Amino acid sequence: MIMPNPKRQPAVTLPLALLASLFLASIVIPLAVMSIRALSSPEELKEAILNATIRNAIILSFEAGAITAALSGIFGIPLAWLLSRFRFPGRSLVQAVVDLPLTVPHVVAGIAVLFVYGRQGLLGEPLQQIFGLRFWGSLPGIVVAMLFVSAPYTVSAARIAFDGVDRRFEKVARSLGAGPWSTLWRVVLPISWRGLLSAVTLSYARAVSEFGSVVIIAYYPMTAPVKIYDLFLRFGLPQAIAVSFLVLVLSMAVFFILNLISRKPRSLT
Amino acid sequence: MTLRVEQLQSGRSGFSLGPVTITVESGTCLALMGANGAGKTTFLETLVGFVQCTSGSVSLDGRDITHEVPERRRIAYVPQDLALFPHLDVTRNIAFAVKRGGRRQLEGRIDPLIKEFGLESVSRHYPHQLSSGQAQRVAFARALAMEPAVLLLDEPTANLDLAGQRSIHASLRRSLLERGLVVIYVTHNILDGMALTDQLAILDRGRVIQTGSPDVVFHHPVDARVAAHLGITNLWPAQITDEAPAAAGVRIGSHDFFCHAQRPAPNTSVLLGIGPGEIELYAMPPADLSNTLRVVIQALQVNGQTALLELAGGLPGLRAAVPPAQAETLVVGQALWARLPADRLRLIPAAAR
Repeated sequence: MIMPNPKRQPAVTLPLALLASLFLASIVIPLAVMSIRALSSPEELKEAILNATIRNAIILSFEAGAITAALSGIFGIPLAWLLSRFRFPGRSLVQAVVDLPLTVPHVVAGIAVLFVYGRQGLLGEPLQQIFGLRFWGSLPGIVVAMLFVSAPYTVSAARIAFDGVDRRFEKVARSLGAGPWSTLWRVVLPISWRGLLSAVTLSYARAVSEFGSVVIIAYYPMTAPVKIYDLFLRFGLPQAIAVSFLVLVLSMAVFFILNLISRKPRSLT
Repeated sequence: MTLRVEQLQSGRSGFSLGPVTITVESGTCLALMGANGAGKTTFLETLVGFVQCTSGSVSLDGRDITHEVPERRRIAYVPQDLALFPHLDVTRNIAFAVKRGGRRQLEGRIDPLIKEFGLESVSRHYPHQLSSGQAQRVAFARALAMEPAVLLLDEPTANLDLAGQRSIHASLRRSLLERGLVVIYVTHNILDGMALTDQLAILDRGRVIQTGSPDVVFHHPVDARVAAHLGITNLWPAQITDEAPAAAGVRIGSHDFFCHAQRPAPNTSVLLGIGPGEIELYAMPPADLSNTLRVVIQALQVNGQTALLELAGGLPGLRAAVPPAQAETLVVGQALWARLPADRLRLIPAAAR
């Protein structure tokens, strides 16, 4: 495709570029200011790295985020496939239900999750009695809360990835003797895996950064966002900045690596 | 192997196909022609099983495959854009359909195809690294690797130049004869239909309106719609006269013609048809002035590989086509002699218009 040269349309591109710059600045400036503040106090940063409770909180966040991303992939990708490839009664309703967590305040999501997985919750009580599986104040609870708010991202992005696979590939594969499962495994997934990995990455990023729903079902053990909130309440801003900076750097590193893997090679574009 | 399609009907998105009845023997090729939206792709996809048929049957050598799943029909499908798998190199694309057997067995099936289609130098290339012609050959090799009984080709040479099309046609023809396949070939191009096939079917609004050998269909279109599909766009209402001794005499207004077609009864109303490219143009009057009109170039339009001339003074709406090189010597307003060769004129039943 021939891309228009922005230099040749300054009347259109300049105002748009200005708006885009303001938008980017609103993201970059707070993070940059916070990072500069954190780096200007290396002692506090060192203390935060050496503090076992902070380290554990960060590890717990990434651990729960990874489990959430995996589960959202396992359950969300099949749903995305169904939504992408099949027209069935109630399809719009299913899509609306998938998107619902995006519209609900996360604290509300946490309370809803608590009603189901809490001590006297619909599933929480029987699951503990039968399997000894406790959700409140535990890793499973954190994962359930994270899953609730991050799974819609997986489903939506995976659906876009599947929509991008031309159906003719599937038709040709079927005519060449591949069954529906074989076609999915040998054609659709290899073509769409980058988009699917992006979908799971999005879910992971959303899960790691989740605070509102997690704090309701599991204040302890503390995830990194809860720990930062706790430090902020108890010791004020200076204590929270070092941990915030650490979480920011680690989150960006993981996100960058996953994006690097899922990026399409130049030769294929 | 015989593919028998009987009273096949299907539909999707408000479009109804059929009933279509066609029989194609092994080692023969059926060209399916029709305008956009005539139902060609729907027909192919119904044969493969992507579109559910609502009635009728499809059978291969007597085996009913009407409700068989696509992967068990042994019908290979090559769509217009070829749909080479982008994540597989040429060898693995071709090997896609070969399910069983060890590495040696796999190579035994794939290597001859790679050689046959001249793909040795690109066997490790990915689809985006191939030229259009190479991609076509990979698509054919991949389809043949599954050893199909039927090969369906949906305008696979549409994006190739003339030389590329000829090369592909030669490869296809050879493969077709060697393997004894049933081939159904969708095309817009009458030359494809004539060069490659043994049988021509014209599809219009979901129905086959004429079928037969390319020669018969081309020279004896059953109605004006078939004639239009074949590029016979000069059509005039005419009357059969009884004045020509060895051919059909035809009168259009005050002009008399004769043509080497079957001779209907005198005074029968017919349509007289001829393709723009079949009209012979002369700057000087030819020795034989029969079937010849004095015309003046009214408009001249170069369009790709042909130049279209609108000619006044002869028959209403008369159009001729010449190669662009010849058109360079012509100018609007120039007087010419236009000859409608008797062996190219078709008599089409008027009632069918």
